[in-house]
Amino acid sequence: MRRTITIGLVLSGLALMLIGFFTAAPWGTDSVGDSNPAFTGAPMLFLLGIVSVIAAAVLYEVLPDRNR
Amino acid sequence: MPKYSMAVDLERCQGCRACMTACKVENNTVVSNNWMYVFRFEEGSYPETEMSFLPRQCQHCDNAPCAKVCPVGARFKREDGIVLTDSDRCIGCRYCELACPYGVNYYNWQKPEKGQYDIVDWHDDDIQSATGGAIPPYRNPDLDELYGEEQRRTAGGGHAKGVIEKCTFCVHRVEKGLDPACADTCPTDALIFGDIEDPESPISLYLKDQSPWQLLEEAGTKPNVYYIGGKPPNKELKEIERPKATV
Amino acid sequence: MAVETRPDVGLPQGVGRLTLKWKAFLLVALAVLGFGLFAYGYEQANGMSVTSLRSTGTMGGATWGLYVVMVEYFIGVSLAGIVIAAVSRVFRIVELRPIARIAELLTVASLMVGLLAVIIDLGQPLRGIKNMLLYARPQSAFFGTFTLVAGGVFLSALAYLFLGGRRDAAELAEIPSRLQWFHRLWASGYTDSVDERDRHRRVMFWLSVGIVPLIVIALSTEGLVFGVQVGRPGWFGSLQGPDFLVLAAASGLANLVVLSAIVRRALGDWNRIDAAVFKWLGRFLLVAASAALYFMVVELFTLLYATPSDERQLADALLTGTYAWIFWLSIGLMTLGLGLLIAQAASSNWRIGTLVVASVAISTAALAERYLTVIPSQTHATLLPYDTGSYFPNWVEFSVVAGLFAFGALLIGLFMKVFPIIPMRDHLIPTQDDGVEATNA
Repeated sequence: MRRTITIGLVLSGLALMLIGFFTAAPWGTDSVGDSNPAFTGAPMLFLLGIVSVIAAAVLYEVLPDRNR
Repeated sequence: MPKYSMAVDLERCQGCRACMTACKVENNTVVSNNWMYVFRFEEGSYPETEMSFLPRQCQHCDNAPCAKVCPVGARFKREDGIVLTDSDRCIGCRYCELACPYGVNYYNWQKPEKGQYDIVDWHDDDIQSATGGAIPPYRNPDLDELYGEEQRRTAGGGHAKGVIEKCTFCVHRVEKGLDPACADTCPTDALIFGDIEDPESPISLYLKDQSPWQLLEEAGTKPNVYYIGGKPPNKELKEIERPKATV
Repeated sequence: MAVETRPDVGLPQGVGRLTLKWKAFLLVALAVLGFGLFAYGYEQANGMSVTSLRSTGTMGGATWGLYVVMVEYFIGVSLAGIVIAAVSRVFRIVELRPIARIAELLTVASLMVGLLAVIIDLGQPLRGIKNMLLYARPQSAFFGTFTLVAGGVFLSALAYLFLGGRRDAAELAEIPSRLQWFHRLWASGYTDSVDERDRHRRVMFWLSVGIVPLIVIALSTEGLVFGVQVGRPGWFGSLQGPDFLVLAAASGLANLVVLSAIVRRALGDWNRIDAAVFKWLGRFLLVAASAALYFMVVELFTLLYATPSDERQLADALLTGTYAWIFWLSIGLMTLGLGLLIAQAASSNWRIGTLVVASVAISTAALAERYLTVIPSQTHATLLPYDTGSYFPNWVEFSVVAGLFAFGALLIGLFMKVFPIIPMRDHLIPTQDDGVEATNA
């Protein structure tokens, strides 16, 4: 369970960072011309991804043992 | 889609700075914020001196370094080529100011009412009747409107404390089919504005048989202001007759 | 569990005990912070026109001034703390264990202060926080500050501090005190079982492995804020990132030395920071300061040969003009600091007092160097022929910055009163036979 949660958080964190990075500003188009993120709040996804990865480390250690 | 540009004919420019005044009146910019600025240069030593002038507004670059560095997309370039600042989104980091090699960005260091010209008493009855009682009277209401497809507050209205601003090519006038105030006012028609993609536009026709140059071309910013005649400025030029330029 | 306490005192290392000296420190720090807040309030009410900052170009000022210098300085300082903590774990440098928590705390505190300085420099601070969340653009170098530094490095450092302190917290939670609830909360159920220790070791190892490249990338973006600017002579260049890191390492280590020396003195009988710690720090600082001086000398030589007119103008301002005194002061102080370190290394006689003097010199040199990176390119290097500008911070800026220092000192000072700043046990790198009854370090 601990491992599943950790791996889940790390993977979803990385995915969020990727999505956040590429939706925070349109890439591949004229980056100067288009100043808005694909949707408002996209940069928050990137930050959430970082939080998720770090939270994975904390939870991995802090989650109580099942037999306790 | 038009692409707005401006031509500056230095052979015609007399350095009268009427464009600076027109800009200030139209855009109500505070003291020291010169969206349009005309350098008056002196070169050589007396008696062998020569004067020259260089109007310097925002160059509305295609590769705008200010828009590139803006952390929140407050500075952006429209499809029609005009580089604008969304004064509702600007966070006042002033990164655009440093990225711009032309020095055209001005930060609002204080409340706008503190920075207005103290030449008239705004509360005077005659002034109030002339301005229709608008409060504050120096505020052009057109500048507060939302413009363009993106519907953002980009005409610089309010000059709010803690945000950046610069020349907008008078976007509020351009959207009504008018020329920017500077070009409209220039007594020698040294400033020519228009759609450079349209071969029949005044600017295209004006530039047709000329050899225009661009300011700091080597910086790679791809400016949309074309200079005709004169020569690019250099460090040998000495600036003279500077208007009040600080808060 | 064996707890390192003294029956007459209760909690170890003076935790929970407010001495007269500490109260005096608190009073001074609060007074300075209070005045800083007043100055900032004054600035907010009247606009930044009450500072010496002005627009570049026709206004002939510097639009980024002391605040941005402090952003660069504080964020730079944060580098060394966490790296030292990580390196001591990954490479098992036992001698550095006593200062691991000080190092982590230094990173957390300096990052908090540095990020606060970013907010302070914004014309629209609240809008800044909101709009960065809603609209931040990865194409801007600020994205790194916002996500990697404020998010990644700061949270990792907090996680590091939290996880590294759980075992001590668990021990403290068994001692009746007013802080027992806090220590229980921090311990978050830690029982010091063998499984927990193994997990802790794994997590700390991977955090350490992850945090070093993260902080290197994150802090490089701070250098890139300047390095990607073509519009300012003196800024554009690929060396800004590495240069930032090297100076960050030197200033961070220097601050770590000073902080460790202060803690050593403050703890009195509880002190466990011995000379060996300073010997290690001195060696690290020697390497970092050498690299920093190397970069400064390279910069000096490049300036001497500057030919394009804009670069030449900047070089003159630095070498012989307005900024010459700061430029030569920074080189002089860095050389002095390095000289003291070399002398100590050569004689293998590391004296804490001398090391502190060297560290203060190096840290001041780094601060001066940050100033020279940020300011002269604005006042003396415009590409169009504007008049030369000028900038020197005024009382508002100095007061706000003093407030920032006081805030950082308060964070560390308060921490020392709620938690032992030196790890109570040798638990950083558990060994095979590391049983429940671990030996005290």
